[in-house]
Amino acid sequence: MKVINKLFKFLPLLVVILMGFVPLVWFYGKGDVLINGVDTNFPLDPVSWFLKRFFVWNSTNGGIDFSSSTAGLFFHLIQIIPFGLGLSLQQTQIISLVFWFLLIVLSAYILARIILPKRPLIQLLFVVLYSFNTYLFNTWENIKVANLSLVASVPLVLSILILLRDKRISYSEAALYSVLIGLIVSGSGINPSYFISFFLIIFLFLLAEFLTALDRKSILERIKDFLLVTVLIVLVNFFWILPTANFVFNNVALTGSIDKLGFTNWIDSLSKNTSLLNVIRLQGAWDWYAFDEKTGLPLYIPYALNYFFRLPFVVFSLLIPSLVFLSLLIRDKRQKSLYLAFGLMLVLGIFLGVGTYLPTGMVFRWLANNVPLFTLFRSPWYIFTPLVILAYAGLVSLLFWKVDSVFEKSKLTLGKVAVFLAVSVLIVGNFLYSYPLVTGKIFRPAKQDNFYVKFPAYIFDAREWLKKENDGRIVGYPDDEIENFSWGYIGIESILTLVSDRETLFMPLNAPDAPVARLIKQFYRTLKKHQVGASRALAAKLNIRWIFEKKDQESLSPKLPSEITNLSSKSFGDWSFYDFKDSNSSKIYSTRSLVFAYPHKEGARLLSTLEADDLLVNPEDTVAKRIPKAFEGSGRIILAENSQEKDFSNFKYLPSKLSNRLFLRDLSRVDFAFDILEDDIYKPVLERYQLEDFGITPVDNLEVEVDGESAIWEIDKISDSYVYFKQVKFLKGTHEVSLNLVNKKLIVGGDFEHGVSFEKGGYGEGKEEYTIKEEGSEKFLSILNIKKADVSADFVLSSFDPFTPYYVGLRYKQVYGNNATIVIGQNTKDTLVKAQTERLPNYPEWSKFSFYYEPVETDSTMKVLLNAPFINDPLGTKIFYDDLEVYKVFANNLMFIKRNEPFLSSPKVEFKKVSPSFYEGRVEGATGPHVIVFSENYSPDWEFSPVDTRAPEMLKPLHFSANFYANAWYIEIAPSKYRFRIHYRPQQIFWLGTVISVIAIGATSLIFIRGKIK
Amino acid sequence: MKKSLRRSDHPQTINKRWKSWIVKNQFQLTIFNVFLILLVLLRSAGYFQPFIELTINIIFLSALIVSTFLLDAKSRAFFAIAVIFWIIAAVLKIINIQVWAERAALYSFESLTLGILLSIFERLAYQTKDYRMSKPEYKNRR
Repeated sequence: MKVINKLFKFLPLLVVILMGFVPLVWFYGKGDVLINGVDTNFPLDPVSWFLKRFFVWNSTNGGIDFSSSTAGLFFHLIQIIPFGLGLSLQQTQIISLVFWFLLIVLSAYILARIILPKRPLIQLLFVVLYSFNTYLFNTWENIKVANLSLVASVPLVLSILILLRDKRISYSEAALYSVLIGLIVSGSGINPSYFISFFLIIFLFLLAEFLTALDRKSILERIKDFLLVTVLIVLVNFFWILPTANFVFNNVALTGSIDKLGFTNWIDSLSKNTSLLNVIRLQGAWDWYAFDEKTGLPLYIPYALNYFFRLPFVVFSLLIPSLVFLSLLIRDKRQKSLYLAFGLMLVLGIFLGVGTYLPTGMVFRWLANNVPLFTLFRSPWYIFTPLVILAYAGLVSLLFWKVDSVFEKSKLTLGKVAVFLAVSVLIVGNFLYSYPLVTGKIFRPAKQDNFYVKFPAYIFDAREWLKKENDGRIVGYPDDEIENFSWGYIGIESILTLVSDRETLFMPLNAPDAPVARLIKQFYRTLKKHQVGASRALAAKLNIRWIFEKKDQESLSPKLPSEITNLSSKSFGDWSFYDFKDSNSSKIYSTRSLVFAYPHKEGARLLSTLEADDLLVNPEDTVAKRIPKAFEGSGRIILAENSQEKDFSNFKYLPSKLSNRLFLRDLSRVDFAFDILEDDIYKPVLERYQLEDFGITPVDNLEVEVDGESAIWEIDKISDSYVYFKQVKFLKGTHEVSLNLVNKKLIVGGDFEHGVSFEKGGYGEGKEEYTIKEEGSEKFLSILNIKKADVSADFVLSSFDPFTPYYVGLRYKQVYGNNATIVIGQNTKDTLVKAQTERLPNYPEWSKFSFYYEPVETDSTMKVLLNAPFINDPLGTKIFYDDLEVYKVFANNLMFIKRNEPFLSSPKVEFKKVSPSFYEGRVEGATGPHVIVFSENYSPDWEFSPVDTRAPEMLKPLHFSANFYANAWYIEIAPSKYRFRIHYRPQQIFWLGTVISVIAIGATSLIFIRGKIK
Repeated sequence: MKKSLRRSDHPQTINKRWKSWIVKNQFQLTIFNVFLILLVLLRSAGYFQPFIELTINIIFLSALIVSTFLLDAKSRAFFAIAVIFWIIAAVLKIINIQVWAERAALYSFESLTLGILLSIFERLAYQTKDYRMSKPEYKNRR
């Protein structure tokens, strides 16, 4: 009997522990898989991921400040412990997930036992409502460290504060628990807004305590408790707080509009469905509302349909808030402060979680625009809903606690049974309502893009090889921003970041306009256009050693050119690493000459024309200007403005309108405009790509018009990427160089003078009529469509190059019916990749119309469809078309380069990468002023310093940005041989914070142990 | 069940209490109604436009705020309104009238917010009084 009693006593705890093992259900019957992909980054090399967290600089994509990510130390420590013990990756992941799930349910149970004493079932209700809800679907789906840390630590911190208030624990115990909570909550620092949310919850709890105990003594005691707990939590988290604060205050605008940071659209898009009705029902996740326009099915969350349309789900979503409001109506006097605390969390959580959704959203927008650093809260629903779930769990449980107490007082057994039944039904109902979380459906197992991934063995072979091979960067190919592998993994960063700590380059999804991203994009373009010389030049500047081809990635990108695939390589299954090493390439090196770029914003296009010794410099850089002889001794590179490309860009970026379409354009001539700053001799360089298509033979001298006068540019040299001409003298001022092009018509028979030369397209039932008509000496096409879904005359381009924009022009006359329509269709062998539809204005006379088409860069064909669209009218649609012409746009670059005699010494540089934020090396043979280039993304926090005492005469190096993205230091005076260090300054702040954190943990533990011994 | 019913909860008692409250607050009720009617009339005539649009939401919010001063409404009353409007929102949502459901949810949330604010003021007022009453001079006076 005793045993049964004991078992019964521990039954709720056993049930809670059982709940913590829910992650086992997720893996049941799934085989040897990992939950991974998109935002879920489970490392395939947990040790290197853990070690990365000790550095505030991460070398991915040229390098980025990593301060806030150091907060993930504790989270990744939980992963490396089982991995270090020799467990498999899957077992490691399961242990990590169970750990966090257990932590959440247990912390909720601890709080429930404190605030809802003697009611085990209601305590379970609290745990279930807090740990199983629709908000946590997204948290678990992406295994969001910040959310998990916050949700796990909140009930614990409130428990400590209550126990301290009730004097049920000593200060030394509270201190030790605070340190542990500090460690648990540390993960929320990955997104500091969650850490702020943690303190907001504590603050609201404290406010409610103040309001319910207004005597001075109680207030002082509450403040003392609060300070003890929060100061220790902050101290434990100093290791990430200090570097992150340093980064935020130096890099994020404190005040001003969020528009400047480009977050308005972000907040608005996330707030599109956060109406009060949805937020109160915990259904504010944006991805629930993404539907396929055609099928009407959810794009990401298949189970969302149940929550939207199934009556039991709709009713349950409305039931919980009803109970919450009811709880506030029927309050229990013994729990005054809790009602107030949960009430405040509820109101504030809902209000802020709604984001910019109107009408309350205007306040959020105002706050975002005017409150310093409010931009940190850029995902409102995700950040503030933890307040709501805590309030829901608390208030619903308090309601039943109150009702149960009333029945107990009045000794109404029937009433108590009713409460028991109601709570049981609610617990079971909540489990059913949260079925995607319980069963693992949150990982969308039935969808093709699910999160259960079985990684092929060759990835682990590659991982081992990458551990040994450690020279230069690796650039991935294909270049899609989202990597979608045939075996199921989808990632938004290079998969190599999961596998190893090697420096990788890839198209970044989050910062496509960053200088390094533009350079990477340019590198990919040159590769795709088979401009291997230009690729090599860029690779040298980006310190690329390997081109990593992923044949298992689903992509539209064309195959790598044979010049690359013929290089020596290392292959692992579908992965190949091609050795693209350039003998001149090094991450830290010295350079002989500076070249100022005009305009510097086009540096990505200019860099590939420079030689290995040239360093591209921004003429507006105030530091670079301070270099003695900088202007006199440096070269220039000027990009001329291409008239055809400019017109195309204007068409592309300006809003769609008729005024830039209702005329025909002349593409038989291109003008290049440029400014010369001083009289001098320049070398014209013309991009070689497909020049033959415009009647230009690269090996011949070029006939040009310079400022209206004919001239001949003699060939100097030719590469696979550029044609270099001999030097030409230009005077200071604005100039224009014109080229007459033989721009071939790419459509045959577009004037209809020789009859039908198109395919008859369209579909549907009805009548169609294609007639070649004559009007005077002119012939044209007449298309009649009577009740057919679509009728078109289809022209296929004779040769199609997806890397060039196209121009389409024609004349048309809409006789009657629907508007004339032109469709450009671009198809691969398997699918349509792009369709551009131009609806021509309703005009019954002959009119001109032209527009541009920018192809998707993939091996494909292009069609032009002249349509007579459907109209529900017995007469149908009749359109006349004539003089259809399609031309390539001449988008080649023309540059002018001036080189001076190098004025810099170019010593030999050797270096060693000690860590991502620290390098040391040696310079030998410096015979005068020199420049050291460090090919890592520019940051003013990188510091170059000599370490030799033999170099006292060295002045402080001038630090400036170079090669469009990198760092460079000008060293005026230095010994011929010296050693140096390059370090990222905020790393010291991290170490300082770490020391403080360790001291806080150590001191608190010592005080606790001492107290226990006494 | 009857045994457990407090005297104050008996239907006849409640009815009496309501009547007595109405008689006691007749003047305030009149002002309150006139205020609401006036706001609705101003809205229908398009007053204050285009500077401020007198929406039904503003009228509702004004009514809630004014009721605390005129009718001495307590936080419980606001929570009761929140419950009522949430039930309305629930019914509208179930029968799939989304726009009205959202509007009802907004009213419910506004009532809830004012209820929480009011309960803070109530706590402050109560605690201050309580605090004062705990002082010896008040105890003696009592």
